[in-house]
Amino acid sequence: MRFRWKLEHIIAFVITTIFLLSFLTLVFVSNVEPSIALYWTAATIFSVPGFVLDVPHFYTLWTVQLFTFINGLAYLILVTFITAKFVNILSKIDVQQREIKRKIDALNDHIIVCGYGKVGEKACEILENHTLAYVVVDRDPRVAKLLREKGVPVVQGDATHSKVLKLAGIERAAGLIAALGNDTKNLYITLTARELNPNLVIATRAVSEEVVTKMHRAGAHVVVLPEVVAGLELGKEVAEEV
Amino acid sequence: MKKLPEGHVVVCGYGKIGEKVCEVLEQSKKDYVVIEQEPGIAKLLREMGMHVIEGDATHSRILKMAGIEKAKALVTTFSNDTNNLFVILTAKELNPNLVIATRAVSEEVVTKMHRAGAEIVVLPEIVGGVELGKEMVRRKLKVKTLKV
Repeated sequence: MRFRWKLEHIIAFVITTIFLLSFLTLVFVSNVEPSIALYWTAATIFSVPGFVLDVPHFYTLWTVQLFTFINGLAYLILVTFITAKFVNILSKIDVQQREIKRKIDALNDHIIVCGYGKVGEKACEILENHTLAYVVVDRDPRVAKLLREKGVPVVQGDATHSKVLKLAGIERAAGLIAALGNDTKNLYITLTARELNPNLVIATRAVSEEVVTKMHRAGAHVVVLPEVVAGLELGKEVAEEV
Repeated sequence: MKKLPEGHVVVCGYGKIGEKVCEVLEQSKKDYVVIEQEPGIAKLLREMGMHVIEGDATHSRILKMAGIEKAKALVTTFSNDTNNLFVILTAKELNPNLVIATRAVSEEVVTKMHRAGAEIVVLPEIVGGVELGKEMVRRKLKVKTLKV
């Protein structure tokens, strides 16, 4: 692998160079004792007010004056950089997120529910009633946030991506419910899930009757057609009445 | 335009559910009028020889154009509970003898729909979700017992 220069490498390089240059110049050009030169360089970089004894007219040496400027600059860069890194690390630690990730990683034989709309919500309710463990996958950040607050394990992301399904622990799951309102997406999820885990029980929602055979061929055990069933029901009831 | 039938069914919204409703009505040889807002769909249905009123079913004028006063039944299939409820109320006002069947998305509106005058309320999403969940539970439990 080729080495690539990143900002952090450049900054580290610049600071080391300044440190060495400052130290060497003090020792060899101004004939300052090495220990004092080292102390002075470090003290200036970390902005420690230091006394330099035993060297007559230390602060009037031109090398010292020059490197006081440069070291000041190096110090500025260093502090900015360290602060930025620190803030970055802090912001990455999302306690709730980690908690949920740990929860999902500990799950086994669970059920993955893709899409938390009306259908997904109801399916989760049923699973909850039977005390089955489940993980919700939903793309909407608001839905994910709401579920997280309720303590439901949730992965925010597009369920058609195998990476998202893997995050939900598809390899260890027992079942998957594809409850999106889009036949193409449900079909895609079914295919992906089947590929990732051949033992999975897959139940999927379908809008159109034509995709039912496709869903079965893709590996779905159960296909439910809420719209078609509702339409038939409404039609039959009314036809009887009229 | 064809003369409107009497004692017919008014179907509001020709989505997936409306389509299925019309299919059933067609099979049982009932007269029906579709109200559809989308001009493309309305045109297509008209070309297929159906009675179509193009417009928003929440307006009483559109309902009247579909012959709601002489109709026997009304089916609302919108995916918006508020719209369905509004159509039911308007229709019931125009024709108190109407048999009304409606789709609902949320469980909370069912009582409201009944109070508004709907005899039949169907919840596709809820029923679908329950079915998916139950099926999963059944199969999961089976797997569990097999493993033990």
